[in-house]
Amino acid sequence: MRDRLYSTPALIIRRSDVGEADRLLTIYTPQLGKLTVAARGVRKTSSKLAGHLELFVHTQLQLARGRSLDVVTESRVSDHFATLRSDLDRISVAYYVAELLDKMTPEQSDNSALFRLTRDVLAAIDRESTTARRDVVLRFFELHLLSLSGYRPHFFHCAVCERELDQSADRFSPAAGGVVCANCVARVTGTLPLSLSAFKLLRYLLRGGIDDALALNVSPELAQEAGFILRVALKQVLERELKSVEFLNLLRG
Amino acid sequence: MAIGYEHVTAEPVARLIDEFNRLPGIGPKSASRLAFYLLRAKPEQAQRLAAAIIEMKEKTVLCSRCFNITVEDPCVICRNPGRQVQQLCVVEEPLDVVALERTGEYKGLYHVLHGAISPVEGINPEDLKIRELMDRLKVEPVEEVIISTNPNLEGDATAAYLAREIIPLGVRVTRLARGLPMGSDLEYADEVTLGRALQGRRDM
Repeated sequence: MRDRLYSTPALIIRRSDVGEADRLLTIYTPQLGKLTVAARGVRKTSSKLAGHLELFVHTQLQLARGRSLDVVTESRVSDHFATLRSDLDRISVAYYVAELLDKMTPEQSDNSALFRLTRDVLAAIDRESTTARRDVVLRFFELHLLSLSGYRPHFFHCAVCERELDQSADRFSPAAGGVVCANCVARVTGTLPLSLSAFKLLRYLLRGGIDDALALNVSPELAQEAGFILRVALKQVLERELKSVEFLNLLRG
Repeated sequence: MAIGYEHVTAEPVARLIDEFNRLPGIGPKSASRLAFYLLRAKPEQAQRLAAAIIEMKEKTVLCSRCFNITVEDPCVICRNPGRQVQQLCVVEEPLDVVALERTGEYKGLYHVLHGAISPVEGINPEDLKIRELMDRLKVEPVEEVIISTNPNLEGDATAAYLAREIIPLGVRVTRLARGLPMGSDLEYADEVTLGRALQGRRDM
């Protein structure tokens, strides 16, 4: 028989209230992927678990197997991301990260690289003090989330003919899932213009790690252009708009 | 929502079970327990319940000033000349007004937002009574806005958003202190709560 209790690192990416004082948590774990678990009594002020199960915390959870849902029995927070939750812009970015992860991943499909990516991205959002640098982090997240979910955009080879791309490529095709070369542009419809600097930035972000991304000095306009391309690519996969984008845009005015 | 009672339960009972099941915190088991209780209860009791529900829906409105639930507009608190108009306490839900009133510590007025910002659920500032709050601040002699949204991420996001909007008007903005609940144990407190409790410590 399997053990009744088990322990796992987790990121809390969504919560909803149920019943008198309970909550359902959507957590992302390295070995079990995305899970929905129950946290009992956490809306009472006397709950000793409540403060350890806030949205976006990185925590070590102990869970008890339940008939339908597993139940949280203990939570030891590894990182609260306290700066993140005291700043409106960072909160809106974190909501977007969490919603993207939630919408892009199926339940119980393990992906430890995706766990590490999200954990590192939340830590970077917590740490980085300017919106410009946090925007680069966001681009890095969007790109690698697509990649790790099996939708890696084509930035090195033409999305249509698969020939290696050179610097003359300047169109992105959401439908083909990447950049198309000059020869193939005519064969796909609905392509978007892509500047050379945005093209280079996206290639660099895709190849490197988060520290490489943070070593860059990216102008807000360039981050915005890359962001536009990635949002279109994400929308192509998700087939809908994310709810948290509206709030993000509202704050950025 | 089909919950499996339709085949064996008389249709009117099944319908009531179904309605109870839609209420927050009531699952299919509790729903059928309530329905069967009412089935056996005296007719007057069922009548009283039905009448109470209808009366509540028909006779209550939102106060046009503070947006609390009331029978008469403006509500008893807004009408009370003894309340201090310089202080305005902003809360998420009408039930929070009840909780604050029970303390007996607060003599100012309220403003009920009817929710908190939650981008993932699509609840943005324009879905709350925030524009109405800003309108009040323009015409009322408010000197301090006490933000009493819940001490969780949604409540904090709402508080931060309100502060950003209100401070430029030259009105003092305060947030309820965060600390340790009565009867709790230090050992189980999370770092954020304990950290803020330490920052907000008081001389004895």
